[in-house]
Amino acid sequence: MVRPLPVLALLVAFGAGSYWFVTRPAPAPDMGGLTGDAAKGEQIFWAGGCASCHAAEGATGEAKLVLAGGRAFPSDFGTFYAPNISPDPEAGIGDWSMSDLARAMQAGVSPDGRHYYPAFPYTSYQNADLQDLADLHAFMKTLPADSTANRPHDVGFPFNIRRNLGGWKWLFTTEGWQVDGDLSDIEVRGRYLAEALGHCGECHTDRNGLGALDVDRWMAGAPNPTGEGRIPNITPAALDWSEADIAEYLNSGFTPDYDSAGGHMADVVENTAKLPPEDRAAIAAYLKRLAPVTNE
Amino acid sequence: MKISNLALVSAVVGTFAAGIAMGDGHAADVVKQRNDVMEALSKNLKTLGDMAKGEQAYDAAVAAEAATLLVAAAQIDPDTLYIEGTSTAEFEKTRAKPEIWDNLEDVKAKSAALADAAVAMEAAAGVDLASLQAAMGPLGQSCGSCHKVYRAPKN
Repeated sequence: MVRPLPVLALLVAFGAGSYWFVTRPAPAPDMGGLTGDAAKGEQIFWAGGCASCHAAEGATGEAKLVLAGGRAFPSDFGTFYAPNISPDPEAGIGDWSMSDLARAMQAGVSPDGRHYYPAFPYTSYQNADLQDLADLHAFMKTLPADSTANRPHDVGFPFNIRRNLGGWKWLFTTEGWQVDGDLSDIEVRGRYLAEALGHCGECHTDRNGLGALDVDRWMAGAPNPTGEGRIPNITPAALDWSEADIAEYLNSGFTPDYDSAGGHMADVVENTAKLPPEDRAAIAAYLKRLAPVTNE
Repeated sequence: MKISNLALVSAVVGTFAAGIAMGDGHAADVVKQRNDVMEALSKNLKTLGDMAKGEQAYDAAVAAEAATLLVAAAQIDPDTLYIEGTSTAEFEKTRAKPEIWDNLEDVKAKSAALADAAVAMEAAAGVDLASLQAAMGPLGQSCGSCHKVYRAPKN
């Protein structure tokens, strides 16, 4: 005869153990003997689009370097508010080590071991080079400190239980690259800029009901979370611009018809405009290698 | 092509001068005129941008003329362009968000930045291709700085 209570206890223990295992935050990476170069880090900063979310909405010029956070990001799960990532040791991340920053960006885990929401695009940044993150860390140290306190996210149950995000990561984090195969050096550079640092797929790829990217429809467009219009399909099935057109768009924001970028993409162009022309050309070359996906 | 372009910009600038003189703005006309200004900007940007991209051979005289026409369209007084009651709330044929009229000073500042960038392009366009190319980015971003906040998406 099977005694139900011990079996149940065993199942609960197994379930709790599995939950603990699956949702445990990843440890901080070993940065070896890396040292950061702030000048190189500035390029990583613009390529990574940090200011687009963490600077004040509408900030221009020097104000884009004040990473006080506060900008709101509506989603199906609630509203997220970008945190302060300025070098203020209390309100910002001034006391973070290089390894803390790398852990946050690649694993989506805070220095005290809590999961971040994937509104922070760590599923893209996971592919960033550790040296680039060391350089970024050095650059961010040079930015102005700001004492604005973080605004808590406005997220309801059950999404407000951070530990559950470990399960989300376990289910939905896909390692490696979305575009694979025989790529030229330029295309590999473009892939790094677009997939890892630029995190283009975070907006240009649709998501499932739990907010995970539908990688089978990589860059094939998605509803705009702000509710206005649609973020376009930029696979070759929909985007027929030449590589020169794409590179110019990433420089000036002008489409081949000389309409100009608007919405969040105008922010992106402000970042890509700060990259060397070869990097914009590399992103263009990468986009041409995307699998064409049509919208029905 | 060149003549029709010149005619377009002259017509646009002229209409606005007339509008100021009469001191009245029929909302539907303002929407139409605003779209014409954007069209005039776009046409001249195409001449400059296609040269910057190498899709059209660089010609200093043609570039300089396009830049001059660009300046004429970019310097149109925003007070005549952004008349109250001409947003997406009232008209289908515009993408001008109602927020414009809550932040008119900001819109004017951004409009002035566009005019400055156009003047900088006018100084650069006739010099050589590299100067034209360098002026393209700031010009485009002056367009984007307004469009990212105050322009509604297509459809």
